[in-house]
Amino acid sequence: MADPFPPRGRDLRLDFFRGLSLFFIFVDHIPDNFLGWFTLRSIAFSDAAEVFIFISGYTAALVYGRSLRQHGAFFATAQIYRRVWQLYVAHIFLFVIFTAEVSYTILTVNNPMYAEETRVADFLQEPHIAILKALTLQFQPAFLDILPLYIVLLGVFPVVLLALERGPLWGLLPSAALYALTLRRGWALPAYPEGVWFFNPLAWQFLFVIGASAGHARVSGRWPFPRGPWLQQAAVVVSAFLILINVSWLIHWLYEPVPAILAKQLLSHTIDKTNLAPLRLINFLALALATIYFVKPESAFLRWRIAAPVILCGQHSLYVFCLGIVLAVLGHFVLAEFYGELPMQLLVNIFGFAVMIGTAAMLAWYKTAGSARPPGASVPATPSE
Amino acid sequence: MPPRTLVFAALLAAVPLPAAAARDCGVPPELLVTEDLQLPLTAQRMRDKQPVTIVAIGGASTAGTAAANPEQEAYPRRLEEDLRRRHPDVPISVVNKGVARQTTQDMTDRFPTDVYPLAPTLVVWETGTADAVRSLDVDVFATALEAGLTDLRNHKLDIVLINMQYSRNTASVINFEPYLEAMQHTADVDDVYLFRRFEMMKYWSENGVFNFTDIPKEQRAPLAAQVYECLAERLADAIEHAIR
Repeated sequence: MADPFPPRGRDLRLDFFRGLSLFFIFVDHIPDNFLGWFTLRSIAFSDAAEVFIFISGYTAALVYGRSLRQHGAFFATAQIYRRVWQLYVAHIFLFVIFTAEVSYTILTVNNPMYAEETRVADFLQEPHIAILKALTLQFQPAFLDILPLYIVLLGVFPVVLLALERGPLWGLLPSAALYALTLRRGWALPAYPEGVWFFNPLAWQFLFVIGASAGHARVSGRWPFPRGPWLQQAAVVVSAFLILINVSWLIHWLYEPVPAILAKQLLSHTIDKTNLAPLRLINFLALALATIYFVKPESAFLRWRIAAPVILCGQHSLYVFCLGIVLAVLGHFVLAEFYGELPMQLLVNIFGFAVMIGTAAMLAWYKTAGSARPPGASVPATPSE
Repeated sequence: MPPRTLVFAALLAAVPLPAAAARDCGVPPELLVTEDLQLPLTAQRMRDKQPVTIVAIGGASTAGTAAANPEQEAYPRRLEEDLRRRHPDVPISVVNKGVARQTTQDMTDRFPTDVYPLAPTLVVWETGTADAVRSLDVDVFATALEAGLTDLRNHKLDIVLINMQYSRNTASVINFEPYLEAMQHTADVDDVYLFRRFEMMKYWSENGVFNFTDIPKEQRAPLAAQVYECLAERLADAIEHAIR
């Protein structure tokens, strides 16, 4: 089997699936959204978060790995930290929106029936601490938890990159060890006012580093993982089996007489999203391998018109990702405050998709217009990080 | 809610009708009845006309703190009245062990002092709210729930689990979904009956039975009392279905 990611040309699959995961993250972040039935989490134990983190690791290694070789470690680190800063600013922006939303809804509701629920606004009693904790990423209100993870993962990425540059195992083995120890010892990062980080970086770093190792292979030319048709065929079988299980569970929750296959045995191993439960990781890796088995870089559907907006979003993932979260928070607010029935849900989803695609198109336009290339010039061969 | 209905509701509230007729707060049967709805011990004792003790353990909404008179208007008291009305020949008592702001683990810790000494036939366990509000680790929540259910089951009693309250406002700032899912799945795997309060209140909200949002101050306590009453009525229906 050849390297699943060919070294030459832009691999549109990365853009497409990252774009798709951005749409899924937007949809899944709106509670009670009927479209949420049709995202990855309905057919797999893993969901769009795994896809996003893996591809982000992959492209980060690809882009900054090349930068490291061309311009040196200092420049690559500076580039990475420019990204980290952008993510940080986005996080603070989201925090302000969240605070506005909580103050507005909870303080205006003020119904004693929900006395316990309104405790979510307790942080307003001590804003001097809450704001500091938001600045240090320890305060992660509901729905705003994936950005802090991404910030931390990119923050330590220069070290990971230098390790990968020495050899893939220098990156992978410590990462795997940290993951295993985290699961075994129950290590977690404390959050404010209590609890832990929803996405535990100590566990999720493993998936990011796996993605980075695969991406770095395109810089170094050394593929660090086993390869062979048997592996991909096995992945297809595992994926199909896990999809069958998930669909049976889904139907079971909707219509009880249909049995939930292996639910008693597997359920408790799938709940722990915080620590990237091994079953979620296995499910994601199987799906990823099965996907590259079925979808080749030259697959025709990647050039269909309907795929173009998804690819466009995947190519500008940082902005579209942050925007997706903001839109989900606003969309949810609209659904909760005014009207939440199906037509409105549809409208909120369509509006969200349109704004995400429109923004990606605008960013693409900035890039091409700004770089003063003649119209029709070829796109750069490197995917954007 | 259209104004006419409001006036009508106000009239109804003013007239001392039998409690159950105050408002039509039925729910579709599939929201209430599931395969897990089986309460063998309670059924046996009811058939034998033996005394039945039910312990309601939970948070603020079990304690009934939002009603003007929690003693009389919390859901466990309403449940007791309802069950006694339906089974005048069985001595039934429902004991309220609601304490505000407790997590699943806090409540599990209370079982040995608040539940087992009463030797209940049935334990109705309302939980999940504090865990979701404090965004505790979902896995920790699920583990505590599982441990609590196992502990209850080891004491050979019937169990009913109740999930969170619903309002559109709170659902927009608290991420209930993973906790609701974990609860549903845990109950399903353990074959424990889950009384889906969240879904029922959502059904009422969407069908204009109750408006949980824009409530004038003076109507908040009566609203809470009515909701508690409706929930007690549905729970009594479920118990009735299980013991028949």
